[in-house]
Amino acid sequence: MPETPPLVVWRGNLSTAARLRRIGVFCVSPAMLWLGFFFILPLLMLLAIAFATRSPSGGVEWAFSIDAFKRLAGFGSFGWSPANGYILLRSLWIASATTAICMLLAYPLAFFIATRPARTRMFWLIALTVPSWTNLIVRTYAWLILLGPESVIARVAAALGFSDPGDALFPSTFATLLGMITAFLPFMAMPLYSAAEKLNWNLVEAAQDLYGGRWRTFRHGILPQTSSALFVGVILTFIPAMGMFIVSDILGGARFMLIGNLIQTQFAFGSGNPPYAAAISLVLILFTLLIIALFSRFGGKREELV
Amino acid sequence: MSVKVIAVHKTYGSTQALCNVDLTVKPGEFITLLGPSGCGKTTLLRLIAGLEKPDSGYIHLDGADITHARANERPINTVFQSYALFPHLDVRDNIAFGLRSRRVPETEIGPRVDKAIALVRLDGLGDRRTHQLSGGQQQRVALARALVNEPRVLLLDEPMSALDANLRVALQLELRALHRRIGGTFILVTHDQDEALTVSDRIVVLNKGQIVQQGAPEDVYKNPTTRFVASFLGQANFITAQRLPDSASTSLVSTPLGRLRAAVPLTEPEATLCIRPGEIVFPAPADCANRVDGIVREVIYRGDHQEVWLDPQGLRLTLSGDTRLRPGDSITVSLPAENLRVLYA
Amino acid sequence: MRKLPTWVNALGLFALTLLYLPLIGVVIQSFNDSRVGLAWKGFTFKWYERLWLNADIHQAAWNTVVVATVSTVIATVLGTALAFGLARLPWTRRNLTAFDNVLYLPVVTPEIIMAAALVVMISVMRHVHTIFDFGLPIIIIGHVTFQISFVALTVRSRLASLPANLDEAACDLYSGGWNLFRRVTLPLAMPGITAGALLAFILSLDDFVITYFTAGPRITTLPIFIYASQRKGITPEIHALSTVMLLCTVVLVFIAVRFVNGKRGHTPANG
Repeated sequence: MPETPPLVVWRGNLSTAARLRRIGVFCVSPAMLWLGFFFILPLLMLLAIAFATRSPSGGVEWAFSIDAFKRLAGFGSFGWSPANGYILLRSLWIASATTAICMLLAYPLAFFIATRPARTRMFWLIALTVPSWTNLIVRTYAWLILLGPESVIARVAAALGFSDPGDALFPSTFATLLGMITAFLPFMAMPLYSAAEKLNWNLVEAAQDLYGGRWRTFRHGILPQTSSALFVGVILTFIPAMGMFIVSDILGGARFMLIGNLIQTQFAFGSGNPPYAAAISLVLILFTLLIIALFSRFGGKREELV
Repeated sequence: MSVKVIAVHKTYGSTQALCNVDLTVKPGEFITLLGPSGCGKTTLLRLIAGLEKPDSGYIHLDGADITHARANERPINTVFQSYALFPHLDVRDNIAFGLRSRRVPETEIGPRVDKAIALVRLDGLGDRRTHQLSGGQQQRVALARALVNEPRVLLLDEPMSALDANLRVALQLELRALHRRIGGTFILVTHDQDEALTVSDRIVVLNKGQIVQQGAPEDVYKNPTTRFVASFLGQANFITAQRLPDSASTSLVSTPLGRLRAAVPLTEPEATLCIRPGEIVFPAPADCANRVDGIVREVIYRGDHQEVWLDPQGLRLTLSGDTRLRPGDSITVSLPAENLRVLYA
Repeated sequence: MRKLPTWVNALGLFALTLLYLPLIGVVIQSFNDSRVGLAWKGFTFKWYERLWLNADIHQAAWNTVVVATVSTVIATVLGTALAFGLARLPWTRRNLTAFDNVLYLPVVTPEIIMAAALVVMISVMRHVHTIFDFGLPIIIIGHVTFQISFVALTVRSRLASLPANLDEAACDLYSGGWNLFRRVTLPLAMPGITAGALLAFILSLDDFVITYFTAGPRITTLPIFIYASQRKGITPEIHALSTVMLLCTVVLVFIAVRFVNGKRGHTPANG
């Protein structure tokens, strides 16, 4: 008598473990294979190329070298220059500033929406989400209009003495920051909104009942309850901000180089340097992984990323 | 330590939570705000705590007007229904929270926290995280956290509602003992009448945003002034009564059960008589007044006593012991006149 | 309803206004009868007319829509299958975490890295097959790659919101296997699938980074077109084009949101 494989009940259905496995693999493999081939594989190639040599025509020669990394560290054809170091620092500073300002703005925004009456809350939520779905190029170049020489903002700045009358407020760090904040604010605000909606207000009241002032009430009543949401927001803001180049390209001007811009320039046909670009990307990837590792340590909830 | 609530109104949207409420709490009193959900008792408590602002009216503490003082400026502390313990702090830090907010020196905080822990009998659990504690322990932490600040008034918002029945009784007695030991004014909110009867010096009954009766527990239980209070605190049988036209000064009245002698003469043509199930006597003694015949409709076994439903009028009485009554039995009961209270509302 | 201090509400509204300022600016300028500068010189539709007649934009628009449609279809099929596979079958915890990690990777990776990796793959593999050369096919491939994660996460979240014992109830009522899938699971998951597809479509329409690096010299899409014009100098037609794109995005988001939330009212409450 051939032995029948053991039956298993899964979600009310009677089946065999092998059959369930087969169905599972069937469902999951197409997507996983795609991701493996078109995502993981190219990334591995990128990793490999970082250690290759640039061919004279701007392509790749498969000879092992760490020239790309040397150049990354600043050792160019004219000796060592700190330019890349500046770029890294600048990227870190812009990403951090963007994240910090977004945090300061996202808290009031998230809590504002969370305290709206149930009927209008959906409206506010959609209002928050819509800009994040619009084209980033459009959103960014639009600031050129708003910061142009004749605009209200420019005139106010001139009146306050921040700039000369008739000058546009771009290209500048201020404009770049504005563009970055506009780009990332929804991503910081959305996880915070989820947390704010589920907030246990009793804890806030308890802090007040126990003589807490504004900061203490926030620190003990709100912050602990929103910390994992905050981490998600930081991940969704800081990492992309590090790799952002569109905003600095449009609003920061040619001199304002971030890591992303550096990579961008290496892809010009003919004069580009793929191993170099790969090396830069590698550094960026390492940063990303570092931050994700930090994030997992503090036990954030992944579902809030959606 | 006295609290005065004067002519307070509070509306939420289209619901009026409190309507022209006046309340005086004497120093050192333990009063209970009792009523069904939605009656405004929690609103009143939160107004005193400073977590809400009245639309009009005043709140005085020892004569000082604190109506516009913020919660963190009032020497009043609250034990929340959900305890609201800070999950990111351990037990000691939770208890010390209010002291630290007021910048009490650390050297003083230690001993005071120790005393509070001993007071609520949580010794040894000071370093635990709040989620490691049982419900009863969490409630004690919430209590200690409030008491350590030596508040002039302690507010408790349905603190036992999340606990098992047995634990609840034990904690009610502990609360009472605590009050006796440290003095202080306690204001408790609950919808549980047994709790109110157990712990309070005075019960304040609320319904639909207004105070309907207040007094010592025995007083309110034995002498309810309205049908609502009579049925909310304890059980009650209600019998409609009409004054007899010929004599306005006797307590004889006409009811669907026949002529009965009420506790007092009626001052209005119509009223409701109220008698509690435990006060009806069976078997009716030979020479008693107010004899009523009836047929047993239902007998409900309740452990140490039985509930008997009598027709006509669905009169309910409780009898202890095993009476061996069956539905359909014909019996005669007696309604002692002194227990047939007259209610006009 | 909790009441927040006024300054908090004010700051929140300010933040929201900040988000909309650029969009409003573009829309207004698209109706401004003035070639350069901000000054308002009258209301006009002429930029939209010029837009309508611009052949380059037509080509770019066509490319954009083709890419978006094809990639969305592929990504929805793959992503939905992935979500179902993950949610409905008994995987070991280790496997599940591994899948999760792979799934979240495209979401957290900065787009420029994905673009760089794709470009690298192109330069290595273009001699193997023309599909690996710059152009529409590789753009589509790039889009599908990040869309899959997105669709899978959306569908999975929808599946997770369904009551746990629905399957058991259906089996109790003699339905199982394929029947169950067709009559119970699929219809209930539909709102999530549609929402995922719509949002993937929007992502593809608006994508710039990956498209820019993989398009090659001959192909343009609308986002690339706008970026290129921005370098040359912005004409009001671009404002008109941007306004049209904004409108499309807003409409699509509205539809997607209605699918996610409107239908949710029909699911039985959890627990």
